[in-house]
This record gives sequence, structure tokens and C-alpha cells, in this order.
Amino acid sequence: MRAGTIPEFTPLAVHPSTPGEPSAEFAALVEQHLDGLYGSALRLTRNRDAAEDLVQETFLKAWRAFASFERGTNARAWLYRILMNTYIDSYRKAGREPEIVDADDLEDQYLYSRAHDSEELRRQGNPEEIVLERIMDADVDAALTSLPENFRAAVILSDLEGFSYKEIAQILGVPIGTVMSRLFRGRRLLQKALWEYARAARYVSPQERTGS
Amino acid sequence: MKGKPCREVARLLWQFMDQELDAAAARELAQHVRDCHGCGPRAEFEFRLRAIIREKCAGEPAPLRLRQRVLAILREL
Repeated sequence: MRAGTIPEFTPLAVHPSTPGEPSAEFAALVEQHLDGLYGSALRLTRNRDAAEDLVQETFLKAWRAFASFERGTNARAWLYRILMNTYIDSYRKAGREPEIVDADDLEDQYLYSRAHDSEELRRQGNPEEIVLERIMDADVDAALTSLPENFRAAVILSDLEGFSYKEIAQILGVPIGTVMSRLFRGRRLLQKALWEYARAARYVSPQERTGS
Repeated sequence: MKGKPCREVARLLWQFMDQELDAAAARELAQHVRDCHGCGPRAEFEFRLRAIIREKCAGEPAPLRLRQRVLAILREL
């Protein structure tokens, strides 16, 4: 590396080092996972400043532990585990407890069942299509972030981040059965919220849509 | 419907979508979904819904200042 010619925003050059050195490896991890971790942090904290703090804290802890990180293992899952632990610690410190919500009376594929059985939607056309169209216009992100912490985390890690049940179990430090229970409850609650939205959305006829 | 009853398919559909069923169970379920007029649309709906959720929650990139704050960690320790 030539001294004095380091480009201002080239992260690998921020810390003069060669690939294979811990700092270069770590900088590569930051590049690879920063956006994903920030997106998840934002959905967990529901607040940009808090999300930034959470991600910074996560990488700080990760860098401190980096020497003992086993190379070749799943770095992304490792980072998410640190993120989740940090997040859980922060809300425990704030004296908040996970919300208790009963989603057990809802069925799996709640939304499909409600849509499929809706006489009102059937009069307007294909109920499933109508519901999916309305959800395209819905604030799905708001519906997701309205879920209780535990369920929200499971849904984010599975449906948005694509982790396997086993990985989520490791990230959250809970058994796989607990992951499945939280994930499925979370999905049912999310579908319920989306159904409430879709049902309340006013029917707009094709004529109205074109403005005549 | 032959094979798995529809109720069982509904119960296992999410695990199937999550690719968490073993190969034999996944094959059996996929076969049922292909052939069953009740379960086919249900599965299609779930797949489309998940794609919409992913798309709508695609998120935003981390702010540049966060990137800089994080990379500054490397210099401090």
C-alpha cells in the first residue's frame, strides 16, 4: 500500500493493511453485512438512531471477539447472534419485558383462509387476488414492526434474512421448537394485521382507478 | 386426495416453504400440492405473499456516517 495516496472513502484503505490480516478481514465483513444488520436493527428498534447505535455496538463487540471467531464458520449468523444479544440486553436494561400475546387461536395461513372464505371479496372478483393487490399497497413494514419483539425477531430472521431454523436457534439461543413456535405465531399475527388492512381498504372500481 | 390429508398439508406448508422438511416429506407434499385443487392455490398464495413481504420490507442501506463510525472501530482498538 502506498502511503499518502489512500482514497478517502475506501474502507479497506482506512486501516492500512493487507488482505489476510484481521483488520482487512473485518473490514470486509463490515462491507458485506452492514446493510443487512442495519435493516434488521431498524425493524427491531423502530428507530434510526437506536438502530445505528445497535449496529455500532454489534461490530464493536464483534471486533473484540474477532480473534476467537472461528474462520470458515458462518460469519453472518455469528454477527446476527451478537446483534440479537446486544438488542435483548438493551431492552432488558431498559426494564422492558417481552410482550405476551396469544396467537394460538389463529390458524396457519390465516390470511388465505380469511380471503378464501370472504363472501364480500368474492362478490368483487377473485378474493385471493384482491387481497394480494391490496397488500401491495399496504405498509407491510409497519405491520411487521408492530409485532411483539420475540415474534418479530423470528419473522425477520426467517422471512427477510432467510436463516434456517437451526441458525435462528443459535442466533437467539433458544431450542428449535421455540423458534418454530415464535415464527409461526409471528406469521399468524402478521397475516392477521394484513387481513385487517386488506379488509378495511375500500374497494376501488376499475372506473374510479382510471379517474372517470 | 391421496397421500397426505389436506389438513396435514396446511400444517406442514410453512416448514415446506422454509425448506425444513426432510426430502421424502417434501416430495410427498409437493406432489399433493401439485395435484390438489384445494391446496394448490393455498400454497401459491403463501409463496406470493412471502415474496411481497420480502419486497416491501427490502429496507434501506445503512447511512454513510454509520459505515464510517463502524470502520473507525478498527483504528481505536
